[in-house]
Amino acid sequence: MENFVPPGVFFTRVNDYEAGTYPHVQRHFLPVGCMHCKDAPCVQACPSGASARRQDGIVLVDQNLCVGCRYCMVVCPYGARDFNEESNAAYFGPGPTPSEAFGAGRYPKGSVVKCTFCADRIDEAGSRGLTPGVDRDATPACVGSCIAGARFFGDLDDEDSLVCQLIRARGGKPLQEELGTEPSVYYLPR
Amino acid sequence: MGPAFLRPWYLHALMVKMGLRYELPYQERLKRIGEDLGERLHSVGSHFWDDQLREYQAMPEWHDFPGLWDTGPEYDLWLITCRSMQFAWGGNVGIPALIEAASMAIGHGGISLNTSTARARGIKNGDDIWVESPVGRLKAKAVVREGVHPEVVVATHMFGHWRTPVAKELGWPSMNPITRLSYKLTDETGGTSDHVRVKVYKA
Repeated sequence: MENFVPPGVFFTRVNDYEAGTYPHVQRHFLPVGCMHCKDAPCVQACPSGASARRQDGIVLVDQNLCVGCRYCMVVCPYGARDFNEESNAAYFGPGPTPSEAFGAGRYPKGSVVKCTFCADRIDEAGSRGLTPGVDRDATPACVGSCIAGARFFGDLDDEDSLVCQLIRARGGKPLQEELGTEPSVYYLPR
Repeated sequence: MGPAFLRPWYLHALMVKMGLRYELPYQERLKRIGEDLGERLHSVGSHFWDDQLREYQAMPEWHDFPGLWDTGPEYDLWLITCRSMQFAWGGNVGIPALIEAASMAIGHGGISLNTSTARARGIKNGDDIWVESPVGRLKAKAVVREGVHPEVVVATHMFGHWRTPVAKELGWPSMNPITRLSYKLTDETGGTSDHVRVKVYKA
């Protein structure tokens, strides 16, 4: 997997639910992960400075600074963070597979983990001559792997970017906008 | 339409680009294959497949397969089966990361039944229930929801896994223990009727 996420830890959860009454029922899928909020409660609550918002707007957890207090998990209105209970958790146990061993140590035991927008891909984009949201290798893995093409990534500060165009054209809105955290993730109505 | 690098993944777009058409419902090829197969089987005196050979038609005929279940009014529901979309035909059900992903799917790990069906039987979401056919019964957690026909209950775990590593330990309810193979319910492609008459009650 792209980010070597250990068992029990999710960068994205997909809420699968039905609305309506039989026979007029619709099934909906609502993926929820870190919203990379401009006014992120997790950043304010973090006592160690591990949770921080970068200049480009991506909110990250510095795994070396995280003390595992989990205040950020309490204040996140989207439930977007998980606590890593084990240091070398392996899906097939008891030992890691070669792939898991490659990513071992990325998330120390007792630290909080969440979506990074695949920041390593974004960071390498410039040196590789790639554009995030346009070139697959410089775009978050979830965007590239979504078989329905339902996810998009781009620069919200660029009014001409695809994401801004889609938000304008389809009336995209953040989830629970009223909470005032200014999320950077928008949902496009059908 | 998603990002540009995703677009070639769509089969329809590729078919349009290549000028391909979808198969027509009239399938003379199937008829020819049936005739050829029949000749070969009969040439060695084999007639076990004769019922199925009649189904190799260019245009399919409707058969009342549900009518073959003569179990009486006691078994008032149909159990059908499906899989969570993460499991492509069940072959990858032994991958723990996919099991985690599938656990978010509605109906996963239990038996889905309509709200009205459950209410009539005093069943609440999460209750242990028995799903019983004339062949046997299985115990499962009830998943009460609206998106199921009131006369149908759904086992999401298809036919179970008894040898596949990881998957054999899951214990999710499947149709397998309470149905049996039948030539009458087997079509010409070897597919079987994936439904069985059942009654459902609280455990």
